[in-house]
Amino acid sequence: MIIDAHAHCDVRFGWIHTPEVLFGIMEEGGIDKACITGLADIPGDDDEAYPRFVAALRADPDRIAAGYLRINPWYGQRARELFIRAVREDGIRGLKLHPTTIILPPHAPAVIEFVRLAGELRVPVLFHSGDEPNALPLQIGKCAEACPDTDIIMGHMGGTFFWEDALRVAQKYSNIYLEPSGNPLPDIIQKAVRAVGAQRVVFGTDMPAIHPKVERYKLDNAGLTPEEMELVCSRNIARLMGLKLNTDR
Amino acid sequence: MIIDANTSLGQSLYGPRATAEQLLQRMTALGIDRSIVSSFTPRDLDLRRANHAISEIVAKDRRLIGFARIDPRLGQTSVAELEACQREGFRGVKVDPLEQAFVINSDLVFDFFKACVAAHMPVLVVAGHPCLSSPIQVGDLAERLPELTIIMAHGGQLAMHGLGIFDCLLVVKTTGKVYVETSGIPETGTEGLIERAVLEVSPDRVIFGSNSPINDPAMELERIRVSRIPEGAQSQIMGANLAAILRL
Repeated sequence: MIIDAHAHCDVRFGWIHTPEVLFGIMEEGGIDKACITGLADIPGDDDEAYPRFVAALRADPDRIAAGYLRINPWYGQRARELFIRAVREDGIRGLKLHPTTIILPPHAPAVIEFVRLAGELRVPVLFHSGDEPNALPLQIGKCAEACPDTDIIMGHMGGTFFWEDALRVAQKYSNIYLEPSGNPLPDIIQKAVRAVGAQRVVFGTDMPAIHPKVERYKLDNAGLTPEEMELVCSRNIARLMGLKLNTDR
Repeated sequence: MIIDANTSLGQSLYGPRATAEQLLQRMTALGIDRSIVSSFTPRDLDLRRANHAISEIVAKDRRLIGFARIDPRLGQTSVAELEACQREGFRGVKVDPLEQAFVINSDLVFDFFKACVAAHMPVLVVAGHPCLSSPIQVGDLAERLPELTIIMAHGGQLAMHGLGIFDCLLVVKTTGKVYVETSGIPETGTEGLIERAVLEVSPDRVIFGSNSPINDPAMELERIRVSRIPEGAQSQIMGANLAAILRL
């Protein structure tokens, strides 16, 4: 069972990532289930973004396991109310924050407020991280330090150049989980598992923008034990998102 | 015919290492017919010695094609090294603006790239380093020196946010001799850079490279194979485009 902890399902920026596109690419890449997020920060310029995301989430419960709501903290109380409603009423199980598109560092007070709220609501936060300002692992580390009761998934674990920072930050803060999509190093999953243990690494692809076959190459060649593979591919993300697996007793 | 446009040999100052034997074994296993090889920046920083070592390796095996590593900051010394490398059989140049600390479109290095044009030497640029070799900076060099053949490693996409795709496509569309090299490009699923460069610009302008041994050539080949592009474009990317540039 492979649950992709980082997938997208939305139509925006000229990207046509409909459920059908996502399901096609999941099949090609051998991905069983996906945890999805949209492409728009909500609230924002697109009033249809939220209903579109909820509809995508419900397109096929067998293949779409859960969703992270992508929030724009600049909208303050309006965003807060929407996030609470999303979790309590619409079955959304996570928060996505993209520091590049919201133009806020992860340790900004406005961001920390939402990360703490996610902890209170008992849902994890998926942060985009990478090589650009506002998205650096060290900045996410400051957020993790300020929000010890929130589980934080570091998407892309620092991108091409900042994976060493990602490893060190995750070693320092036990509420950080590493997600290695997009990093071009073939042994990045091995590096992550060695640094923090398989319990804190989740497999993700960023599909359909990144093809899961490329990401599967890293996974299939990571040299993980069957137990580690199960943790990285399904158990960790299932626990974080509160998902029940068929193998659960 | 598969040609890998971007591999390195030797021991890098930054850790990775590879021998010619290891590269050739991997090429055989994966069906890669030929590879561009350059030296890593060596631990002693002596690029002359490193280039000479590559020229000796290339002379022994026609599957390997040498691209010289040259520090373009040194004025006439850089040009003299270019000439020496051409005499040794190198077919192009590889420059890394991060490792040699220069801005790709700065006046400091402009005359060196002019000399590359005069010598008919294509330049493989490690691209995507913010402030040093972002695609828009590579594009500026190309606008000012339209005769220079530039192979933009990684499509200039060393950042995870994907916004650099816009600059990369703009540069390739608006210049004539800039090519997208594919290693490590993250967005290669639907509407990814490889697909868009082929469909929106031209299949002539994308070139397979692995960045081996830092990246894994098997994984890098997969990036091309999963792209939703016509079969003819696949074979152009895998080797025909680079063969045309180098007149192989």
